[in-house]
Amino acid sequence: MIIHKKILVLFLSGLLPLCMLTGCWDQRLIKESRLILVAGLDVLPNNKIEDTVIYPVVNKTSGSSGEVKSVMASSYGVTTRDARFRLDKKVSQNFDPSKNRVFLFGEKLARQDMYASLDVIYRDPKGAVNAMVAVVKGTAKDALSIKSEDSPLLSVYYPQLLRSSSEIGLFKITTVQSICASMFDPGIDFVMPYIKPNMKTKDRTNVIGTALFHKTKMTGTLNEKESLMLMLLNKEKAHYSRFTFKITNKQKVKEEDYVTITVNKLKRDWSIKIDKNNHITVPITLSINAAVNELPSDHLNSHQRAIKIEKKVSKEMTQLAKKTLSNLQQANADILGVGKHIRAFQNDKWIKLNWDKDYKKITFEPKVKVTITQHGIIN
Amino acid sequence: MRLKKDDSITSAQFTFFLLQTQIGVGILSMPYNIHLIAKSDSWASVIVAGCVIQLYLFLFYRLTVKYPTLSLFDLVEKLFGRYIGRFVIFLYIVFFLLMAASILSMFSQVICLWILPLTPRWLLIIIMGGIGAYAVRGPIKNLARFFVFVSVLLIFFIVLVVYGFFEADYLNVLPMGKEGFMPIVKGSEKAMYSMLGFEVYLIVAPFVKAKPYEKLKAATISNVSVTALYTFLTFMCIVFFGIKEFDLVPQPILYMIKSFSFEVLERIDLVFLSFWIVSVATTYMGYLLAAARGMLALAKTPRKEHTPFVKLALIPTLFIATIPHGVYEAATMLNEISRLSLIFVFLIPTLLVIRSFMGKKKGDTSHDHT
Repeated sequence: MIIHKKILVLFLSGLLPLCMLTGCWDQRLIKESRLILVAGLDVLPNNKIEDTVIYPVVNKTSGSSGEVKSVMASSYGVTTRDARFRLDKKVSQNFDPSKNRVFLFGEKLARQDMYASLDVIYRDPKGAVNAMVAVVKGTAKDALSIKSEDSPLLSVYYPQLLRSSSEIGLFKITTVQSICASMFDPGIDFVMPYIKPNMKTKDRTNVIGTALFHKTKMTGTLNEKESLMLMLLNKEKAHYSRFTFKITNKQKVKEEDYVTITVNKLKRDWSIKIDKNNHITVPITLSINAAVNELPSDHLNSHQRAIKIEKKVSKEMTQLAKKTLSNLQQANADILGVGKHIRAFQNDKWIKLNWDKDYKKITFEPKVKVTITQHGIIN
Repeated sequence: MRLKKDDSITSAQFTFFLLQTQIGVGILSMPYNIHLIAKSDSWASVIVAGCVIQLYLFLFYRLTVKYPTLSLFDLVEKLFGRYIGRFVIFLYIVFFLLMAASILSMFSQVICLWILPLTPRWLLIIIMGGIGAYAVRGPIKNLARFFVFVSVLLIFFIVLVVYGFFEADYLNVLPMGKEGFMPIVKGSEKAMYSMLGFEVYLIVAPFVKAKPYEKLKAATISNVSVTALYTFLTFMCIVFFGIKEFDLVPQPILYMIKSFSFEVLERIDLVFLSFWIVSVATTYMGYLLAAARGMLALAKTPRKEHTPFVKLALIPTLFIATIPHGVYEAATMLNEISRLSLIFVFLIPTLLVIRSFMGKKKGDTSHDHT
């Protein structure tokens, strides 16, 4: 009996390491794969999808430290996955897209259907749903073929570019995951950063505003100022949301016509009113505490002068808000989630609405009140 | 049936025993399954389910008051008579084995899908089965201690999901009761399936060294905790995904956690899954123990230990677990077998309670000799 037990224990302890080594089937070694860090998708004239990827390659020189280089490769196919398959065929080692940081979409593709090209990422358990997204004016391939001087690696350059732009209040960082819920929700839409590579010098990419989406398609754009305003209307305050407005028209030196303010504090009051004829009115009031950053023409010695500036800036900001909102409506992009609010709080009315059409008909009544609370360290 | 004196657990251990058996494989897909029916009111379904289970705990309590030393199997045999009783015990064993097998099967599917796509499923099943059988061997006391110990991991479930608050949109749960009352009730059926496991109350209760009232208290604490945890998880999923995206994610909690990323850590879903594996293991152990105890009751051996029967219980679960191919079949199997719980967890204990009262009217004194 005792000997039997000993044999059994030996046998089991032999089995144990076998069980422990199950990882062998599923190990993925970095040295055996090409880590994709930036990917771009375009649609070609023949309706095929072009997939462009950037991956780092370490050049082992004779010295001690290797030099890391960004390498670009691209291929096309009928779907995103198919294009990637063709890409795998021509590049040594296989691609690993799980650590991707940025997805760029050519404008033409964005205007068709975003979900179709993102599906593969959502479906893969290793999919990089945290990757940032942006729309490129032109093609994504162009944006990926620049040689940036700010950083030798595009996989560093693009994340930094998008992050720093979000800090100055142009947009909130959007990731593959963060847009997913809005893509399917009929009551809210989303935006993405809108960038444009400088094709003459091929050294940098500019953020030129935001791309507006309705459901899964890109339907319009906002310029920088409108993007800033959209953020405020959406109750998102970045660290440095700055606006420059023309307040006079008569100074000799052109620079003196302008004032620049930074938003310090933001309060948004809004309500959604639906009257008997189902006409929707949305008054939005933004109360902003601002700091004057630049005012070459005048000095804020007295409070009266400050109030004068406040009035002018408030008027300009209200105009800007109106324009921003009308652009949103033209693009049929309900970024503020008005539909969602109606659904949540006035559900009986929501059922009767056809939001695809009715969103364009609603009346926004924006009003911006700016109060200057700081003026830097000189008057 | 007389119990061995040294194998008893405290009422606190009993709480964790039930808690660990209740929280299990269903935690990942439960919010999704409820959502399919109750939409944005899914969280209310969970509360309804918790209330129904609490009612049954009261019923179980009635039984333990009347027969404090009898387990489910003893009760069945006593109240239904020898032949019917033994047949019902046999059915119970089959039910517990099927539950254990479907848990194993679902476990291996999820692991294959999320972490180890290339590892053969049978290996995962064998490893989990082996661990389960190893833990169930020996006195119940040991198992209960293990359950208490691993309960620390439940805190991580909450901590990891709380992060979702930062990306939540509360408008998604409004308006409440949009779909009406019926979907909430129907959804609670699905919620109940994920909260199964409380039926081991009737099997483990005789081992608890406490008054019946304290046992009920222990079970109530467990049930309230599970209901609260599940309500919280379901609520988080709704506010995170909204109503439309939710339709696309059958394992919403994992998907939500996957999208979080911290400075140093990525793929936190893998961390979550490793805690979840422990929860699955404890649920599996609970059912394996139930099946082994059932076999013991049926076998009528002089030694009142379930250890020899664990192997007997383990092998069928391993084989049944490998039957379903693909996620659809595994999910269907788990769902259909959970449906059997309506009979075994809800119907038969009700009959037992009714029968026990009828016995009283007749002046049955048979329980006096225990």
